[in-house]
Amino acid sequence: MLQYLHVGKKAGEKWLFADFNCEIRGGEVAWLEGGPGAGKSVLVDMAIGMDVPTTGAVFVDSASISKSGFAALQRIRRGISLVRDDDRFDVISTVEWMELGLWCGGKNREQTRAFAREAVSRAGLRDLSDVPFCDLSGGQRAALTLSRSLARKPHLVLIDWPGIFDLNFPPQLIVDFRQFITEGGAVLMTGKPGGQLSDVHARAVSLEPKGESA
Amino acid sequence: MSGGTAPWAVSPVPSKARRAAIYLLGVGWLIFGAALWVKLGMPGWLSSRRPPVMLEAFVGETVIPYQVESMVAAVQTQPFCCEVRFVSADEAHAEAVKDERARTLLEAYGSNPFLRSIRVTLCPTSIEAFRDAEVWLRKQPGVTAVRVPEAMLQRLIEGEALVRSSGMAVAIMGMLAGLLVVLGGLSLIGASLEDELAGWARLGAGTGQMMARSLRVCALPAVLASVVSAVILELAGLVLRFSDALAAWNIPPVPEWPHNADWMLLLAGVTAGLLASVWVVFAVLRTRGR
Repeated sequence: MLQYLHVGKKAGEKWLFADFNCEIRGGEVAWLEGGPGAGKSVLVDMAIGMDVPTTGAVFVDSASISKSGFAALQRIRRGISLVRDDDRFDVISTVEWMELGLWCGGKNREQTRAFAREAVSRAGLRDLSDVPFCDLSGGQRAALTLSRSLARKPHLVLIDWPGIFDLNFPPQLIVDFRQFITEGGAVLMTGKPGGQLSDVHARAVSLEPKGESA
Repeated sequence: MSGGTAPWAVSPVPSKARRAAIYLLGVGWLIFGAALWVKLGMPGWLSSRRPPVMLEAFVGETVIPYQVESMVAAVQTQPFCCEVRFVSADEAHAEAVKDERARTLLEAYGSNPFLRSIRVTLCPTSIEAFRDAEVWLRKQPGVTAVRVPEAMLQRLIEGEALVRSSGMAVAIMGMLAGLLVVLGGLSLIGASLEDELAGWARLGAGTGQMMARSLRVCALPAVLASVVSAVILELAGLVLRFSDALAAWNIPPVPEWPHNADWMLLLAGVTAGLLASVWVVFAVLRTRGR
């Protein structure tokens, strides 16, 4: 599903990390361990082609991300959902924000409309559908982002939002997330799956020189 | 969007810079249009302010009236001729004696010294070709001499050349200044749009989806601003044409607004908007890494 092969990243003269190897298969949950500035978000970015490795290669479904052309990369990206608190499309209403994410992910307009309100409801925010996204609290934005990432029907979810599962999500959203994993979806997250997801078996992937640990 | 608007048409990013950029586009196109006004309106304006220039072809004594009539008819068919008039020797004499200084001289002379002539008023647009007109008149049978107001024509042509080159310099500077302002506006829009589209790309949006958004955000304001500027300049042209304000302030009439400048402004708006849209999408496509 997702494979990092001898991946290294240089920031200026300094190596952030070198010779990082990891493979995440369908149905697996892995969390990246590493201190601040270790390069966790960089590895997440590499998986969607927003960053390129200095050495090595990143593969999604056997396709090299850094060697894919734009059209191929976009096809790959449609199968990946990124959960991160950096969305800048914030003055539109919550449901519009949801529709935009689904539309960019390859859904047609009819599907978009059908799924968007449903996804907002699953995040427990039906009453806030028409409220601007920027007016929502951090927890509400996290729930929406997670709900959208599942509504896109990806096969890989990248979560770069430490402590997201310590938030109090609607039970339906957690059920959906568990179902995504049991149906073969892969998850790579920065930070441990605590709180409502603490019982999920996840393996740690360390950015330290020792590599993966159980 | 949920109300029926297409996803690419919603404005997800609040941007004062984007709003300011739209005003910049309007101002830029107005400056560009005003420069076009100078550039395209100048030739017509100069022609309209030209004084009438008359060449006089003197006809020999042996030429019979029929030949003179044929000559007048031939002159009328020439493109340089706006007006032609046959002047008999008596008419010429009568005109001359109206001048006090000439009258004394003519009375002392006794007989009528004037020759018959054909007076040709040049069309304002043909004044530069006065030499061709002179040569043509000289070649006509029976024409003994052609009088050309050489000094006046020289002054006129040199003066016009100076005005034309100054106008051209002002127009080019104005067009460049206008385009720079437009470029500034488009750069502001492009910078904010690039960030927005990078987010779209992360979500998996295709080139077509990003292009649609880019056209909506970049090209549409550029084209609309150029259309609005053309309308404003058209109205300004109308007001200046039909108001006496300029004359009251002792300002000579300005050139008429050249209507083909409307199309040029629109074309410039479409071109700039399309180029900016494509540039922004390409900037997003080639972005890999930080």
